[in-house]
Amino acid sequence: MEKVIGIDLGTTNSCVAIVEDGAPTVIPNRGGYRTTPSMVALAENGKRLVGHIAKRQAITNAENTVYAVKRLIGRKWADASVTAARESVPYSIIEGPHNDVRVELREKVFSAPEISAFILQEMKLVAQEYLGEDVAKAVVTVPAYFNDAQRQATKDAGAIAGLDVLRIINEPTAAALAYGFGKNIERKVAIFDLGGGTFDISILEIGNGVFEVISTAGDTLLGGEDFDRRIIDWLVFGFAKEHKIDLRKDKMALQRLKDVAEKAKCELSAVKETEINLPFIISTASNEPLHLQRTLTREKLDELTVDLVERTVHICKKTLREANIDKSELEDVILVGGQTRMPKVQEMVAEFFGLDPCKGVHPDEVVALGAAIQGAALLEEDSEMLLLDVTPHSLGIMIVGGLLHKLIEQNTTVPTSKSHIFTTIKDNQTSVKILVLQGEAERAEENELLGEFILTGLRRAPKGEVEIEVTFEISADGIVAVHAKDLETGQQQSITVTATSGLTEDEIRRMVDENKDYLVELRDNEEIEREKQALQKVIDEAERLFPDVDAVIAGSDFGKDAMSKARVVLDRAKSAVGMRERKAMTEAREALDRTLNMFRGVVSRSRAG
Amino acid sequence: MDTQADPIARKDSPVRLVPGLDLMAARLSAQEGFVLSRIAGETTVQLLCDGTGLGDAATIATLRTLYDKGFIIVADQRATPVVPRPPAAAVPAPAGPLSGSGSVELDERLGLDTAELAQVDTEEATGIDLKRELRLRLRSVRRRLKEMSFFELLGLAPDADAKALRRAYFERSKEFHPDRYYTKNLGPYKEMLAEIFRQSKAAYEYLQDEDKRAAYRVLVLAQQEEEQIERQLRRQSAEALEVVHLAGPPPPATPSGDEGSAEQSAPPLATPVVPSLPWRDRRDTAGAALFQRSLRERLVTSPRGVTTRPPTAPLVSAAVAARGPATVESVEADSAERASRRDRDQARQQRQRQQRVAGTLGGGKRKAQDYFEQGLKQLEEGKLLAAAASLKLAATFDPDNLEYARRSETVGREARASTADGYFKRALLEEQVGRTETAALYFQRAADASGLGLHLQRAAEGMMWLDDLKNAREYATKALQAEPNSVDARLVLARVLLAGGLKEHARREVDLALKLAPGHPGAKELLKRIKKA
Repeated sequence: MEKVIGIDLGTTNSCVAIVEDGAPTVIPNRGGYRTTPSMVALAENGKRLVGHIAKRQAITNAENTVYAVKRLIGRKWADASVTAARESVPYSIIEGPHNDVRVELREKVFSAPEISAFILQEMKLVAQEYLGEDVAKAVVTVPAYFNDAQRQATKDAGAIAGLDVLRIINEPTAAALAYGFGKNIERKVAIFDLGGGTFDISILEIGNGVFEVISTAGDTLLGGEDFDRRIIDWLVFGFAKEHKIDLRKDKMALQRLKDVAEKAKCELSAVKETEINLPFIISTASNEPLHLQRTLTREKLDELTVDLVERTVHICKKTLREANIDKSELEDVILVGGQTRMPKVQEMVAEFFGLDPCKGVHPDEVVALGAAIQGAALLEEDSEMLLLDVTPHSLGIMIVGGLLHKLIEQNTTVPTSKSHIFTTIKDNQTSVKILVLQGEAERAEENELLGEFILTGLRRAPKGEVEIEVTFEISADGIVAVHAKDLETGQQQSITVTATSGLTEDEIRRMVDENKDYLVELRDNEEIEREKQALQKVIDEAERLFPDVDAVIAGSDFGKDAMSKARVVLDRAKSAVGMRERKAMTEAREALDRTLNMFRGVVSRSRAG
Repeated sequence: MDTQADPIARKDSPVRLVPGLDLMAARLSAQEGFVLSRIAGETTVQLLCDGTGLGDAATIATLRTLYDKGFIIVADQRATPVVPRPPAAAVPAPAGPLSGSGSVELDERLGLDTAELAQVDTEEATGIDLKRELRLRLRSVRRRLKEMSFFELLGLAPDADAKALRRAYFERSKEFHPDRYYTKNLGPYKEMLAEIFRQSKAAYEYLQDEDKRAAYRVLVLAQQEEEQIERQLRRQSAEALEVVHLAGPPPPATPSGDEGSAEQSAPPLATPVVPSLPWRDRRDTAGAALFQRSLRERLVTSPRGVTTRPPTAPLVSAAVAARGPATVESVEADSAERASRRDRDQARQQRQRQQRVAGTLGGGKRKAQDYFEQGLKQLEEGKLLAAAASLKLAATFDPDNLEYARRSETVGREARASTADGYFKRALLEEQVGRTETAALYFQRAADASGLGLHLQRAAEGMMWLDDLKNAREYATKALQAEPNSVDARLVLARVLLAGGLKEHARREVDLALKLAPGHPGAKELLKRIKKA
């Protein structure tokens, strides 16, 4: 069987694993480390440095060292996360030609997928050295809440790195695969994944080798780096108070702060307090050297980051509620990501779920192991393992009023497909523009635009008459295809959506304005009409049988009572027909159906007897 | 075929029919057909030896012939469907009330026609690397996807709990999720897998709701019960008929006569001279000739297109599959040809059968009485369908008894109404779930059973969903005949006619409807549409 590696492409660290002889194993890098910093630098001589080497020279070459590029990948220039990153990183982030994000290192411009590709390539090399053979196939993980553009950009990164990315899977899902691999278990578990840059919560059902993702949610802008930044801010403000100097203005100082903050945070997972010591951090205007020296306690760290931890719990609560899952159904909670080493995080998780978190998995390695397991499962002939993954965001099209009409809801197991019939909103409208959107917001422009196409050649007709069937299809690979069909002529248009990070919200908004004429409307009237007909049918039959039934049973008190009740139900149904209100009609029909059943029973018994 | 290993000789070998075997085209001797008919799902050689009454040697010899001819396979344990049928199901169910539990296996014997089978053979050249057995299975399941209940889709017993439901879904996923065949060149099977998976998933999601599952269970169980009763009735009626045949020269059949003349004129046991429940086929069941003729008609003339199989068709073929080689050829095969195929074992079988028949014959009237009493008891217990079946049997065993005939008739009618009601509800449910094609099938069944105007109307609509305008028109016309003054019936017919491009005819119907109900909004709208078209 061809070798396939699993790569956890993390915000701060990356990890590569493989399944060998049925056992998933992490592959250590040349330095013997099991994870590699997700850092890329360009040295003075133009040489590209990746991983530990890049990290080691980061302080002296801060402006040319890229870290946390995962926060930029697949994003648009105008995104809040990009703005935030521009303020906090020492390297230069610039706007790309397609409103995307680029970084500039020594006057050379790189796209975010390129930087990620350098890291993937390094992981590929690590694996190749270990295995002594070429590796061409990989499964790469992304945060569950990554949208299509971010996933596509990650896939692009793989291609740039010369990898055939078999599948992009979610990090918490991968963690669950590693957790459940080889165990004969049947249970519902929660994966709490707080990594360097993102937070994800996923609920999975595991049974007989099948892993079904029930629900997944998260925040792509909440992770260990936010905890670091709190420490940095605390140090910066303290320093400013004392010396009236903003350390963030100095890129080298900022890099040193970042290093020391991360180190202090990690230490506080083991000890109660730690010394932060940065001699000669900066010089005053009069060239007098200044030192930074402070003591950080675990308590203080908890205080600085309490809102971050609470945010994770809040997201957990929301996810469970939306998935209609009671906490008591969960049998295990698995912690993933370095930030879950923080005692306060573990405490809050244990408190919220009422469970001691599972200790059996390594939070830094479990994701890569899971990716490798999925890779092997795809290539193996008779794998015992199957992952039933879901689509993390809803998909739909824009309809009249600039609203999103969802066809496929979030957390739907793939492969899946769904159709809906739409109609024109203008007289003699001969074309419709289908805007394919991804997201949960009600307003179309607040969601991600995945693609668009125009269905032309519609019959000239009064509005609301031409019927267009729109079908969404998501394959097991997560590829979205959209078809639109004119039901009258059979004419079809379709696209396979390949996400690009090419459009800004402004552009979408402009498109919304431009394309008002093209919009389509929901076909509700038809459903009302159908319901009405169904109700009318029941009424007709009830009225037809009424005299017969009355003749048979009205003799008894019970029968009289029953008939007067039946009369009320029938009258109510008749008045519902006039209302054209679907719910009322459905209720009336269901009630009358029961009466009608009784009627039929009486009639058939009387005829038979 | 691997004859060297001779797996048939091992009594614990599970054998099964080649999936998708076209029994209509199979050339089998009566005994081969009989043995074939005993194989239900996966059945061990031992069970077959016990169940055929031919003796071990004859049974095994016949099985070997069937194996060599390629009609049966020795089931590979790993390739078997995920829900093995309990061995008990291999023998016909005993009389009496039926339990709804037990696994439901996807019955692979149904569904594939010769064209599709031929395709399975030729497509290998296109580089599709799925095993033939799997391809047959996928095609078979895909074919019957619309007919299967959600429980059948998942291979799940209707009384299953949430845990069993999930397990079943997981098992199905392991079989049908496209990721299982990631490295394979799937060709058209990719879409088939995705479709089957999507349907299984839809079933799982729907049944996860306890209330919905309970409601669905009630409907499906009622129908399962009916179908099982019908199978039972077929079996018993076949026996009754056999008595009739052996007793006197057919046709016409009389229950009295002596067994001496039986041997030459007796049709092979496996020939399915089987009456239906009265509401399936309202033809009278008076004589054997009529049975044979009606059977032949049903087999030779496929009344409808492939996609819009009539509701009775699966049941007919189920009966055929259960009883053996219901080929026209075998029905018509002359006795000389048959005799040439018979071996000594079959002669022994004949003798055994005669002995059995001799035992039953004297008891015809008594049997009728037993069935009659059983029927009345079942009626009291509210088991309408079972009662109808029993009474029908009573009337078959003793056709001279007018009381039996009368009760059978009235109870039969009542059962028919209740069955139709069940079908109709099931159709509404399936429609609500969004399985319109399945709904259409059940509307059709309801209409066929009841003849009620409403049912016929919905059946007509259902046929339109299936683009079967010919049948849509037929049902719409019948609906109007049932309720000549119904505006709705007229409008349904008009819509069908319009869909078929018969504008003028459609318009005439709408005009008539408007005469009946001036200002009817539906009629007015339809009129508008007709004008525009």
